[in-house]
Amino acid sequence: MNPWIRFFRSELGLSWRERRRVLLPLVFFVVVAALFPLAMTPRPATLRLIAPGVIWVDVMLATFLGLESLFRQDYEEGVLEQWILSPSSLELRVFLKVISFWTVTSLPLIIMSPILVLWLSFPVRALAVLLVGLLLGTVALSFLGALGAALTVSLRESGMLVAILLLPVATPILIFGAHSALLAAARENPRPALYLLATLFFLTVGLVPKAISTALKVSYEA
Amino acid sequence: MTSFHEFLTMGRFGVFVWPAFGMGLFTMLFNIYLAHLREKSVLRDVREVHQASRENQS
Amino acid sequence: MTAIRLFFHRLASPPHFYELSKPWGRAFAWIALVLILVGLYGGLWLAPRDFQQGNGYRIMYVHVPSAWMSLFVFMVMAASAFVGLVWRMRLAYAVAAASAPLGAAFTAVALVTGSLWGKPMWGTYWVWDARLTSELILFFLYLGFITLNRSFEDQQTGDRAAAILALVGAIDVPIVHYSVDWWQTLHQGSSFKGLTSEIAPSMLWPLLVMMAGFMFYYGWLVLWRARSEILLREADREWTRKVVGS
Repeated sequence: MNPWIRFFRSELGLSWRERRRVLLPLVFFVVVAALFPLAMTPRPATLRLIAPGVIWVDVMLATFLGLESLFRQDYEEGVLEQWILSPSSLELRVFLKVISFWTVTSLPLIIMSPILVLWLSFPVRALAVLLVGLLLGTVALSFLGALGAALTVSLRESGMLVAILLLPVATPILIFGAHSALLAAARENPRPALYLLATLFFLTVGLVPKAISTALKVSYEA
Repeated sequence: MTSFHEFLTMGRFGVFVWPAFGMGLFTMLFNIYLAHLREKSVLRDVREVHQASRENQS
Repeated sequence: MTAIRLFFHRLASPPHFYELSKPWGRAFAWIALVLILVGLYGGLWLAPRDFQQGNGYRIMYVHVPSAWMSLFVFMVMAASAFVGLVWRMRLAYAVAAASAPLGAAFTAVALVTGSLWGKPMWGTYWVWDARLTSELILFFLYLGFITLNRSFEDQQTGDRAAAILALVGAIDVPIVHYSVDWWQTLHQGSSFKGLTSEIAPSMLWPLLVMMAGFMFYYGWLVLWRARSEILLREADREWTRKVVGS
């Protein structure tokens, strides 16, 4: 078997074994979404308007907080050191690790999001656009979150810090993502927003692994 | 400006113009003070480092 | 050519920088003072009243230079971060670390003066106008850089981690600007006109003088702060003993 596929599988297994890490973001995601109708109003017309924003901000926070400790264990156990010293590509390793983590943490959020759509009386006909947006957006957000995790890997407490570092960087993803769903719900053309989101997706996936591996080397060399 | 009075009141915009310039001036002066504070604290820290390394040597 | 290269090479050596930065900083400070005083006189007294905005437009003379500096300083910060990461130059990290608080301060001034300008023009202190919103996000980016830079026990780790963030931010700033622009046209149409349009020469020259003044002011303070930062980073070197006299 190709060593990279084996690596991906073992990462997948590792993430899965730590079910707490998988479940916490999911529970966070659902609970936070339930707070908005309680805090504002149960009126469907209002909820429909805020639904994309709520879901997207919620997804963003769940992703960043869930990813905060992505590399911590590898760092403490010295696995990271082996990765950095090994001749094979650190970027590719990082890429596969993030994707495997995305599969076990973000994918469940996306699968869960139709429930939130119902709670927030978001029109079901716009669901497809929301899901496509979330699919593109969560991958991009996961890479940014991994960058935050890599930058702060040697710090013990970093949850808040990661959020402060990355929320401003991630605003364009939030804007295009939430607005694609908002436009679709308003029976307008969501395509431009989705294309822009896709551009950001490729930009993030293409450039951020490099930044992550540089950040990991920085923490290792210290 | 046609008169000193107009300068002071800025037409009817004095309440906006003067706080804006005041805030700008205050921040610029405060930056100078902060740079001064940073210099002082760094000098103290650096002296401490030197002191510590000298004690280690002897 | 070789003379220029020699100059930069010597400037990049920390003890040399420490020595040179003092007279340079002092000169910048005086130039900044003169330019800002001239700019204030020109902007607050000589420049004519605007036929639409009355005297309210004069906030421009502090708002526009601050907003310009907030971007310029970010560029300087990202460029020095890049130099630091690639050539492992401590002086570059010192300049980046020295720039961040100054850039954040300029951004804060731009935000506050922008809202003070907005009140008479828009009728409210805060509008989610594209420019103010980008400026706000820029402010958050500065805060992130400063926080990350100071989070580590080892200054070098902090410097390099923050440098990576600065580079990501530098790529991100234009994207943020574009996305905020896009978002704004979606919600407001083009009902909000830009704050500055065509501008008469009699109003323009004080603005340019103020901008130059702000540049020299930044030059002065960034040299001053970078002196402290480089000292801190080179505390293990012999030359610092002579400089601080210990």
